[in-house]
Amino acid sequence: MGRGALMRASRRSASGKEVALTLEEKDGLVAKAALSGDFFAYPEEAVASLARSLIGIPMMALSTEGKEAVRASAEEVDLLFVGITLEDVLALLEDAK
Amino acid sequence: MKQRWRFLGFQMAEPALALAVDDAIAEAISMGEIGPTIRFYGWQQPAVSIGRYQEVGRVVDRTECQRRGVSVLRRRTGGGAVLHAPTGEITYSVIAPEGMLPHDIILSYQEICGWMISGLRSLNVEAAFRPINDVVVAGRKISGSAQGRRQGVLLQHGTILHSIDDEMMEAVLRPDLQKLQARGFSHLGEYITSLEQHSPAGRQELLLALAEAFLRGKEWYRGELTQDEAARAESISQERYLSDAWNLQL
Repeated sequence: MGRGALMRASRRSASGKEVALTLEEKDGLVAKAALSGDFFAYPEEAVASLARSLIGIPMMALSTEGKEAVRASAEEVDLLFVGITLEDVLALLEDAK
Repeated sequence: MKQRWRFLGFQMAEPALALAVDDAIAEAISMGEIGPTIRFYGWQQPAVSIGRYQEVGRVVDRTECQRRGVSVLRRRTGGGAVLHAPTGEITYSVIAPEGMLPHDIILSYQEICGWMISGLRSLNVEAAFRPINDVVVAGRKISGSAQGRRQGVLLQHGTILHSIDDEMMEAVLRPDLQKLQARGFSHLGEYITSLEQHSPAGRQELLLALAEAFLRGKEWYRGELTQDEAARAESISQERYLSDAWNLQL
């Protein structure tokens, strides 16, 4: 089994920090996901779990199921971004479609 | 909350240990074994520290780093990539129970950066806080900081540049040109400044000015790392900052 297609979307927040979403697609589903950039997040480990919440979601459903998963993951741990906003991350799901 | 601050005087450190000591202190504070700590240090060898969430290949030229013997380490704190040169900067850490500093992240950056600004002012250099995490002189960045919070402990560390190795900085870092251009700069060397461009003060003078400003108004004592902290730092250094799995993978 080969590696799936990679997609990367990035944007700059209003405060100048960069945030990027890299997705690996396999059979139409998100197989791997990573959120990267020069932002800050608290709690710090929550960024990885937020990205993982996208795994298994159909690429075609990023702007619906994907956004729900990201919102739920952020709410679960009361995730606070500094330098970017949750809206910046949600917008990446539109860009990555 | 009134607590006596421990002051750890300036020491040069191996890059991996430099970061590991911060983590070990934070753990000791979270367990109630030691009080709030202010630390100044330098880097024995040149190193690039990248922010916790950065993709190493996008922000650092690893081939150039290897060629020049510059190690690359991922911090536990967020933010951007920084070149740490042995003679060009002073690095500080402020590690304290969260309750001793403002709960609001930006306000806490502002408070600690304010100590730095006060130190620079004592050298007749007018600096200003630029949110989120920078201190600037005449609009150019002289200091960047990064803050983490875990287990009730705030850890903020950052660098204050005394001089810049422009050539090395441009060679090993891959700056975000869009970000620079948005601020009116064409390259990294224009965006960054250092004390020697604004003051004849030497690095030792800068260190004294910063230490005096950071400790002003606080009850403090000159301390050492405890044996437990030193041992834990060695262990964290091996497990985290000397590990490719930590440094290179997101």
